[in-house]
Amino acid sequence: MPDINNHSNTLRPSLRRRYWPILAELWIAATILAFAITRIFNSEFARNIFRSLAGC
Amino acid sequence: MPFEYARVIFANILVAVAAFGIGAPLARFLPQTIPPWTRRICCWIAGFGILGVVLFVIGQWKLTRFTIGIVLDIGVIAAGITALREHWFPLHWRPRISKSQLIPAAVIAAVMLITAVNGLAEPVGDSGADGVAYHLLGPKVWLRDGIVRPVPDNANTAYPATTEMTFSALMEFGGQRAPGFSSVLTLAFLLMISAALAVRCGASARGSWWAAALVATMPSIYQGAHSGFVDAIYATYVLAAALVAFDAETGAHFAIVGVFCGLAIATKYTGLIAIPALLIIAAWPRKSASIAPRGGFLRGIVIAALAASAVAMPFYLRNWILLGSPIFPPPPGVARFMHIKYLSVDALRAYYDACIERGKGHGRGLIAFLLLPFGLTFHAADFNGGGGIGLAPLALAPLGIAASWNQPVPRRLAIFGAFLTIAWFATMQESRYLIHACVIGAIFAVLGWSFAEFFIGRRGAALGAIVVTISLVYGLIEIVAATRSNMRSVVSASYAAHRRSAEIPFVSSFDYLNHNPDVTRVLILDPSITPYYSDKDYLKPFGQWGERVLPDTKTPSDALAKLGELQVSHILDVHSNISSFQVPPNFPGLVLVFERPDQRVYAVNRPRD
Repeated sequence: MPDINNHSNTLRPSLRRRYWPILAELWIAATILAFAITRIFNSEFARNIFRSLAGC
Repeated sequence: MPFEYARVIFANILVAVAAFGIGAPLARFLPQTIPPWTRRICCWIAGFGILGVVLFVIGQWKLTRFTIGIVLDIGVIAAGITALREHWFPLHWRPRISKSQLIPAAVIAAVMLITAVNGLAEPVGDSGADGVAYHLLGPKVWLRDGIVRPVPDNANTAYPATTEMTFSALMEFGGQRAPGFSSVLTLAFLLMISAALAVRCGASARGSWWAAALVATMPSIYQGAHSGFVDAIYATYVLAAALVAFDAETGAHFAIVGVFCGLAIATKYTGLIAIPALLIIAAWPRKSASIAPRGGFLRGIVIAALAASAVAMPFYLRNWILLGSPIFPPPPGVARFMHIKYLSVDALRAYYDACIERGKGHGRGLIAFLLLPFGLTFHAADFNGGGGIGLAPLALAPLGIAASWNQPVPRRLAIFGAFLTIAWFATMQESRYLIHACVIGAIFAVLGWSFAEFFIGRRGAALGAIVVTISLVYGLIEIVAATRSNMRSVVSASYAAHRRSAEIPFVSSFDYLNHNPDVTRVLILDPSITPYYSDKDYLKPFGQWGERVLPDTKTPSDALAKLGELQVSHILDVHSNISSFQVPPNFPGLVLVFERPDQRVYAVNRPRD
C-alpha cells in the first residue's frame, strides 16, 4: 500500500516551488467564501431581505 | 405498527444474511493483497447482487414465496456454514474506533439513523417519483403475477432489475415498506467500499472514516440511495469492480472484476458506458504486475468481459426475446430494423427527447465542462439534484490528486473518475448518475486535506477542517430537510394519514378498490395514474411514456367499446392534470359505485353466463 501521508516521498518536484502553497491556500479560502456567498444568497433569509428592499 | 416495522427489519436482516452467504465463497478468488475485511465486504456486496440475478432467472419461471424462500434459505445456510467454519461463535466483536475517528463515525451513525427511520415510511408520490413509478411497481406486479415479466404499461420495468428482484424478496417477506428500509444496507455497502478505496489510495484509517462521512453527507449521493432508488448500489458495484481491478493479476481476479461489472450492467444501463473504461483501467499493464504486458492485457479484458456478460445476459436476453430489443426502450432508430413491442417510433422519440431535456444540465460545450466542478458545487439544482456534492471535492480534491499522482492506484482512480465524469457530461447530467465519481471526489478530498497540512502547514489543516465541516453540516441539513416528511410520518400516525391522503393521487379510489372483495381486475384509463397503489390486478391500456398495451386500442373510447373482452370488474376514471373523465355519463353496462372529487369508480355489469 502506498503511504500518501508521507508526502515528501510522493511530491512532484514542480510542486516544491514556493508559490504553490500560497496558491493552494488561496484556492481553498476562495471556495469557502464562494460557497458561503452562494448559500447566503440562496437562503430564504436573504430572499426576504431582497424582497423587503425591493418593496422599499 | 410496531409489528409492521419488526417485519420490515426482519426481512432486511434475512436478505442481508442470505447475501452474505451467497457471496462468501467468492473470497478465495479475490486478490490476497486486498485486506481480509475489505475482501469480506466485496463478497457481501457481490452476494447482494448475485441474489438479485438468481431471483431474476428463477422468476422467469416462477416467483413465489416458495421459490424466493428456497434461494434465501440457501444463502442463510451458506452464511451459517461460513460462520461455523471460521469459528465466529461465540461472538467477540468489539468496535475499534479511536478517538480521532469519533467525529466522522458519529456523522455516519447519524446518517444511518436517519436512513433507518426514513426507510420505515410508507412509499408515497405520483408518477414523477421513480420509486413508486417503476422501481417498486415491478416487484409488486411480479409477485402478484408469480412471474417476472416487464409490465406492459410501464417501459421502465424492462430496465435491468437486479436490485428490484431483491425488492421482490423484501416485499414478499417484509411488506411494502421493506424495500425502502434496504437503503440502510445499500448505503452501508457504499460507505464501506468508499472507505476501502480510500485506504487503497493511501489514506489512513482515520482518513477512510472521513471519506465515508463525506460520502454519507453528500446530498446528491443520498438522493440516489433511498426511497427505492438503485443509483447508490449501482455505484457500489462499479467502485467494487475498480477496487478489485487495481490488484487483479490472475484470471480468477479478472473474473471477479467481471462479476462486479456484470452486476453494474444488470442494475442500470449506464453501466454499459462505465464498464469498458473500467476494464481497460483494470487490465492496463503495470510495472509491478506479474502478468505479461500485452497478452495479459487482452486476456484480462476477455475474462472480465465474459464474466460480466454471463452475469448481465439474462436481463438483456429476456428483453430481446420478449420486447424485441436487448435495451428497452431502445433508441428510435432501432425501430427501423427491429419490431419493438408496446412503443411506437413517435413514443420512443418522445421518451428520448424527454431524457435529453432532463439531462441537459449546464449544456455540453467545453466551457460548460470546465465549469462543471463549480456547477455541481454551487448550482446543484440544475442537475436535478438539490443539495449537490458539498464543498470538499472542489476545494480539496485537486490537492489530493496533485499529491497522489505519482502513485499508480490513485492515478488510475483519478483517470477513471475523469472518464466517468466525461461520459456522464456527454450523456445525461442527472445528479445521482454521478455517484461513483462523487465518491472518488470525496476520497481525493480527504487525501487533499492530509496533503494541505503538509503543504501549507497549520493553516492548511485548519482550512481543510473548515471545508470538511461545512460539507458535513451542509449535507446533514439538506438530508434532514429531504427526509423530514418521511421521518415524521414514521413517528406520527396522524401525520402519516394526512400525508397519505395528500401525496398519493386518488388514494380514496385505491382504498375502495383494494378493500372491496368484488374487485378482481381494474381498468385504469388515465396514463398518469400510478398503478403501484393498486393491490388488485389491473389493466392500463395507455402508459406514461405512450405505451400501448392493446394493439388495436388507440383511445379510451376504443377500450370502453371492447369492455366485454377485457375481463375487468371495475373501472377507475379520474380527472387528472392531463385529461378529464373518460367514461361518458350513463355508459351502458357500467354502474357508478364510488365517487369523490376528480375520481370515479364504475362496476362493470357482466352478462350472466
